[in-house]
This record gives sequence, structure tokens and C-alpha cells, in this order.
Amino acid sequence: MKHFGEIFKSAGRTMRGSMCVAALAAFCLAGFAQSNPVVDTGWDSGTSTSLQAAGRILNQATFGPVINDVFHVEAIGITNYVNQQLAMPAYQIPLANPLPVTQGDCGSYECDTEYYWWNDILFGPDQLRQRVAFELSKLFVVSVDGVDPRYMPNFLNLLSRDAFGNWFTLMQDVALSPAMGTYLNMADSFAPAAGQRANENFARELMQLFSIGTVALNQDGSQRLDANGNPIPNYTGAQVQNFALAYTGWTFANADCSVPSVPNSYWFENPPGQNCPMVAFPGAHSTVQKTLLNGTVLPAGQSAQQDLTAALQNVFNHPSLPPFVCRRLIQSLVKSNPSPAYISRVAGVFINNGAGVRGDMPSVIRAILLDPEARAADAPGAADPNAGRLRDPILWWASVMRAMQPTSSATLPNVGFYSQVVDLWLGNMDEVPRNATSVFSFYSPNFTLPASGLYAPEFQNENVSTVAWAALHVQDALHNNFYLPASNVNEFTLNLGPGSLWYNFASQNGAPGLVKVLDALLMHGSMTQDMYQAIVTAVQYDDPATMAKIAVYLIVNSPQYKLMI
Amino acid sequence: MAAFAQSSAANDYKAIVCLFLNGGNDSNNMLVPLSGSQYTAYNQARGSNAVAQGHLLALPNSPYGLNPAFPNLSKAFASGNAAMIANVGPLVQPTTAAQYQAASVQIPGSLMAHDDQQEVWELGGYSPGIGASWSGLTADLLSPGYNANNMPMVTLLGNAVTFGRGNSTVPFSAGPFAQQASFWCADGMACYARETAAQQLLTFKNGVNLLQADQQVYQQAYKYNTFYDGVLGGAQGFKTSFPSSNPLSGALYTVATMMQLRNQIGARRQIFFINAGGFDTHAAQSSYQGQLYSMIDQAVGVFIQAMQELGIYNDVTLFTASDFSRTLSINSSGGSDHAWGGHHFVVGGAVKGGKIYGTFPNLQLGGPDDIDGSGRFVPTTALSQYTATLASWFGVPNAALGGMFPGLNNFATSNLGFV
Repeated sequence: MKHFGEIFKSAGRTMRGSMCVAALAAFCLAGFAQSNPVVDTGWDSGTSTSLQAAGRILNQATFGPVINDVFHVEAIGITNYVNQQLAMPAYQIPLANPLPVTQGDCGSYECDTEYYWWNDILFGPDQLRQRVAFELSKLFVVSVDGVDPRYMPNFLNLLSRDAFGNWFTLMQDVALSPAMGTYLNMADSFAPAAGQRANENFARELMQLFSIGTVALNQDGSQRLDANGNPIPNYTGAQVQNFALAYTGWTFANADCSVPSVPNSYWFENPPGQNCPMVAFPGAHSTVQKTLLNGTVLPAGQSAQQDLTAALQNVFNHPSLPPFVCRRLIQSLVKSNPSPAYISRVAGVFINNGAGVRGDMPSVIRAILLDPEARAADAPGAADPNAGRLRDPILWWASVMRAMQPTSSATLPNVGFYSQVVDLWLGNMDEVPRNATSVFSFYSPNFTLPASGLYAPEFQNENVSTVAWAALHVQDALHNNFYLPASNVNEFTLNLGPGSLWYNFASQNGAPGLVKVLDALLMHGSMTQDMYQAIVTAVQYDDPATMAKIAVYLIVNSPQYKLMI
Repeated sequence: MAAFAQSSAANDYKAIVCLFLNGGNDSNNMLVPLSGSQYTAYNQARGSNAVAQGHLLALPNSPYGLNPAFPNLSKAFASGNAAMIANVGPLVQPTTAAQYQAASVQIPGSLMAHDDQQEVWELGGYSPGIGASWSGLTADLLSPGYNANNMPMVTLLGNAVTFGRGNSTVPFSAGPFAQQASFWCADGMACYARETAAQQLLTFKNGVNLLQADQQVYQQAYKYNTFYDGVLGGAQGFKTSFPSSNPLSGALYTVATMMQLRNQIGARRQIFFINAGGFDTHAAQSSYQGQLYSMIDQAVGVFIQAMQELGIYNDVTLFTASDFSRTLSINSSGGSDHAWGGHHFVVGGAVKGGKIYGTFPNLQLGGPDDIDGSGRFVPTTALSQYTATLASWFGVPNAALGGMFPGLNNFATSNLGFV
């Protein structure tokens, strides 16, 4: 690894202003037109990929830039980086401890999983995969508020495996997961007796929240309208009930994934089939004829698997699905307000990846991240006025921690830190991982701001209470006040004291040098002159340790940082 | 605006508390016919989820009873401080099941979809969306005449999406048990400079449109949290017990505290939003609906006691909201699915209680009020009428109601008279 300080000190002429190729001229113009110029970090040194470009793709494709990744992207370029990440195998979380934990500082079924997940998010190499899986977990929502945490490793693992697979596989794996089976009651939803109906929970939410939405969409994500200018419902109540019937007949598998002799009910002492797809229980499926979307009829007498596959295909092939899904993914990874043309281009790739495949996720992810609109503000100093997505608390927390070069020495069974400190703190910010309060997740993709009407999903939980808690907790973290028992104080540490990179910068280069390097790493050089000056002024007389802590505090709690641009 | 000027000259106090039951409360089991063909229809459709006739808490002078988990509400009803409003839901205009089936009148969009219908109930009208709600518009209108400019009129203690948003009003988000995070600084001598810089950063632009929105959130946090934390120092506590086992206690404690501190806050009008989850009872409903109702009823009891302790029971009205009610018919998982109209209650000393307002639906599956044979009932009272009644009591002049509640004029009355 190149030494960071050397790179920084040897940085030569910047490339600012030299990247306004024709395709990006409008955005460059917007960038240069702003009255508030950015600071020159001195970082850009003639690599073909600028600091701003590297920082932006790392914001979009990972849980936040770390120094080595910035160097890496600057060296190999964005396309190569994305392709490298797409080739990464998925980290798989070990199954939760099957018995109540009695040793160490854990004490719940959640904390093993939280430890493994956070550890990979903060330190693991499969960043893009985990980031996409994380965003998918806010679309295909299951919550430990209703689902046994021992079903979570299986669910998280399927999300990270299928994140780079095919959307249809993802739909089917989610449908048959014991976690979703519990959360939306498809498990043990059997053929109704005369006069009863089938449970509609999964059938309705799969369409409304996970795949097509309530109203018909054009490929660019806009609503299709009827002759009177009204939105067109995607499905009727009768169709929801027909899907519900198509999904009947599944139960939890045995521990070895075999079909039980009597249907398995969820049982707290030993939740059945923890790492197995649900299985069709003979005779439990409704074999009546079902009429689905667009007039598709499933004939009477089909098996549970035949009906499930056909019903999911019916949804998968619905024209609203590509724009619905692609808009969500773009909003999650790149920006809250994508143009209709951007959505349409990505949805086009979803419909056909060029090889005739619908729903090919690597192609879709590549299309999202390499689209001209995603890359529009990559030129140093450029700004896209409609850019940006607020970092939701989990992403924000992960990004701050990753950038600060944490160390973790947690080992089983002493792994309580993440569930008992980080997740607890995130609760004050209304986003406890894997613990959404309802199936429509922590925030709505359609949340809009007053006045401007801009989409701003993550702002739904950004309020006077959550931002103040965030500031308090990040202050605690910067002071390493994790309130851990003395025996476990080393489970997690942020390194800002003597010997740390930040401390050294502060002591050798003073406030100007420190703030510039933080700008480079945390804000990919997008810090404006006035912001830089305000922070330098605030910390210039502090001792190096305090200077580092306060400069980081000011940046990560600033709307300029929280808004990932 | 003569009425407005007149009322603002008085020295009165009023507050509204919205209790939102997230997930869609199956109110078929909250308010139940006591006997006759209606109970028979109920019992047949509900199967194992039916409340036994003998367990119902009979409401005086009415053919209906409450779920046995509601002793406090029942008592408040009997003493004239609680009312039930039957079969409320979003409507564009008076609508029958036959008209719904024939699509011969305009039907509200996205019925039976959780998030859309939560928005509708927060907004108070019939169209889903995120925008100005009746409570936020009420705050826009009344704040200048009633409240000092220290804090917003509307306070959220739960997961509201658009409740409290007006054209100029942004609601305040408060923490439970009267605790509010501050920007407390642990760095001694360096703190003053830190706070100065932190607030300067909230004014610098960078050419990106979303930035300003986040800067406003932080600006409000510095302003309101600082003021509120200062005021909280004067809170007196309560003799009323707020049981820690009840998930609503933290929110109710904050609500009661902010009411207690109304003079320090400078508020003569306050609106609160609290919520409880778990009402999406698609499966095994009989195993936990009773616990949900006991939680709500206990919270009602705590609320009444706290308001009486503060001496403002006659000035405060609590009302319920929920995504929708649920099918009267049972599904094969022992639960019920998303429906439309549902029953609600209001509690407070100002309530003209002891009465069921509106029209109870005919519970026959496939009967005149059922839109599809599953026991999904077309509302007989519009949500806009329900919420407009509350707004009128709160002091919104009649002339302003039309702008808050689209379609309100399509109904015979904009005031149901329950408060």
C-alpha cells in the first residue's frame, strides 16, 4: 500500500476543469456555475480516475469509502472496480446459535448474527454485494419484530447470494424462506375450508411492496393513466385472493430440509427448518383454478410448486415490475430523484440484458452504477443539482466507522457489541437493523419533501430527535465511550489518538492539512471553501487528538456529508 | 375570520391526541352487536375469532357491546366521556356497495394498501399521498393566534409519514418519557467553537437541492431541542402511573408532560400523534388480539387519569385512526385480511359521549354493505366528516374546512356532533 501521507504530500496539479467532455457539459456547467467553490485537496494527481469519481462510486457501491479503496479505484477505474466487485463471492453468515446463549456477553439469538453481519459490512471485501443485499432487505422486508432471529442468517445469506443472481430466483427464494414464511404468514397457509378464504398477506404485499406496486407504470417509472387521466390499478381484490390460493400448501421443513410427516408449526424451543426452504405439504394446496394478472389462468389440479412458480412468473413478467424495481434500486444506490430516462434505461436492461435474459442482476447493477446520470458529477468540482440520497442511519453509521479505521478484537462468545451498542444507538435513529416496525420498511420510497416535492425517502426518519441522537452517539464513538463492561472494552475501537493517521495529520499538518484529508476521504473533495474555513477556524487551536475528534464530528454530522452526492 | 379573532382573544386551551393503530385494526371485534340477526351474521362469519355473546361489555342504551378487553373505554362511555363512531373510512361521496361494484361513483384510490391508507388517515381525506394534512393545515391556521413561536403546534411520537405537515408547519418529533437528545458536547473548552461551526455549516450551499432540507432539520433541532430541554427542567412529574409494560406509556408520558408545560411552551393549542403497532392480524388473531386491545384500553385509562390530574380533561380529545378495518370473514390461517370501513372511538371530557355515532353496517356476508362477499364494508361515515368534526371543535372556522378536506361538501354534514 502506498503511504497515505506520501500520496497526499506528493499530489501534483489537479485535474479540476479538465474533464468536461461533451456528454457531461451540462453538469460541468452546473458545477462551475455554483457560487460556492470547493476546496482543492491537492489529491488529484493525474490518475485517469479522479478523487471525486472514486469517492462517489464508493459511496454508491459500498458501505462507505476507506483509504485503500479510494487508491484502488483511482488506479483501476470505475468499470473495472464494479466488475471486480461483481465477481466477489458472497460472505455467508453462520447459522445462529441453536441454543440460548449462556456464555460471553451476547445473551440473545440476535447478537451472533449482528456480529457476523456488521463485521463483514465494516471489514469484508464483498462490499457491493452486501450493499445491494442491504438495500434489498429494505424492499423484501422481514423483521425480528415478528420473525424468530434464528431464521435471519438464512434470509440474509439468500439476499447476498441472489443479489448477483436473477430477480426471479430472488423472488422464489424469498417466498420460500422460513423468515418470510413467518413474517407474512405463507408458512402453513393451507387450502381454505368451504366458506373460508386463503390468507392474503404475502400475496398482497408481494405485489404491492416487493414487485409491481398498486398502479401500472410505464418503463420510465411514470404512472400509466386511463382515458380520464386516472391511474390504472395493477390488480383487483379478487386477483389478490387468487394469488393467495396459489401460494397455499407450504410448511416449514425439518431440520435436514426434508418434508415433515405432519405440518411443522413454528416452535420457539426449536424453530423448524432454520436453514431450509419451506416445503410443499401433500394435500395442503388449493387445487382450484386461479385467474392471475393479465388474464393468466392457472388450471385446476396443479401442484403447490407448479402454482407457486407460475404465480411468481406472472408477477415477474408484469410490465410494471422492471420500472418499479429499478427505480427502487437507483434510489437506494445512487440518487433519490432519478430522471425518467435513467429509470427507463435501467429498466430496459432489466427487461433484456442483451442476451435475452430478464432480471439479470449483475447487468442491472452495472447499468445503474455506470449510467451517465450516475456518473454525471464525477468531474472534480461538478455538482448535479438533483444528485444525492441522504445516508440512512445504518449506512451513515457504517460509513463513518469504516472511514475511521476501526479495529475489532471481538471473538465468540464475546460479540455483544454490535447488538447491544450499535443497534441500540441506531434505535434512537429509528433504524434498528433487521427490526423494521412494519413490512413497509423504515421509510417509503415515495416520501417527498414539503415545498419542493422532491423525493427524499430517507428523510422520513430524519427529524429533530434522530439527528440529535446521531450527533450524541457519534460523539460517544469518537471518544470510544461504548459503555461496554470492562472485560469487553476491546470489542471495537476507533483510532483517533496518538499514532493514528488523523492524529499524525493534525500534529504534522495542522488544521488545514487535517480538514483537507478528511474532505478527501469523507467527502471526495466536495467540501466548499466556506465549510472548510469554518471547520479549520473551529479546531485550529485544539490539541491534535481533540482537533481530529471535532473535525470528524463536524463533518459527519453536517448535512453536506449526510447527503451522499 | 371574525370567529377566529374572537376565539383567539379568549384564554382557552385545547389539545387533540391521535392514537393510530398501525396495521389495520380489526374493529369487527371491538364493537359487536349484542344479539339478534346481526350477532348471528357476525358469529357465522368470524368462526373461531368471534367474541362470545356473553363476554361483550354491553354499552348503555345501544344494541352493541365492546370487546371485553375495554373496561376503561366502557366506563368512559357509560359516564358520557367516550363515543363510538361506526364504520368510518375514506369516501369521495356517499357510496353504497352496489355503487362500488358498478363503479358508478368515484372510489378512493389504493384501498386496502397499508401505506397508502395510513397516509389517507393521516391526511384526513380520501386521496393517498404525502403532503399537507388536516392537522398541519390546522397548525398553519391557528398557530399565529394561539401559540408563541417556540415550538410547532404538532408533536409526533411515532412513525407518522405526513401527519402534522402543513404548508408552513413541520411537526416536532419528541422522544418517549419526556427525554430529548441534545447536542451536548464532551470536549470542554473546544465546545463553543464546535457549536459555532456546526451551526455555520447549516447555512452553506453546495448546489445540490436536497441539502437545504437536511439543513432545515438540523436548524430546527438546534432551536427546538434546546428550548424544549430547557422547559423540561420544570416538569413536575405525575401521580398517575404510566406502566412500563405498556408500549404506549413512553409516548403518553411525553404528551402529558408537554401539556403540563403548555404555558412554558406558550401553547394554547397542541396536537399529538402517538401510535401502536401489531394490528395487521392476518393469522392466529384470537391468540393476540385481546392483548392488543388490553394495551389500548390501559393506555386510555392512563390518558384519562393523567388528564384529570392536570385538570384539563374537558379540554383534550383523543381519537383513534387506523389503516382500515379487516374482513369480517375469517381466513384459513385464523386471521382476517385488509378491508375498508371500521369503527373508532373518541375520549375526553368535551366528548358528547355515551352514544354511537354513524350507521353500523349490515354484517351479512354479501349483504347490502359488503363489497365482495368477504365482509369488507363500504363506509357509512366519511373519514373527512370524522376529522372535520375534530377540527371544528379545535377552532378551525367552517370556511377553512373545505380546503383541508377535499369532498367534504359532498356529504350532508361536516360535523358529526360527537365533540
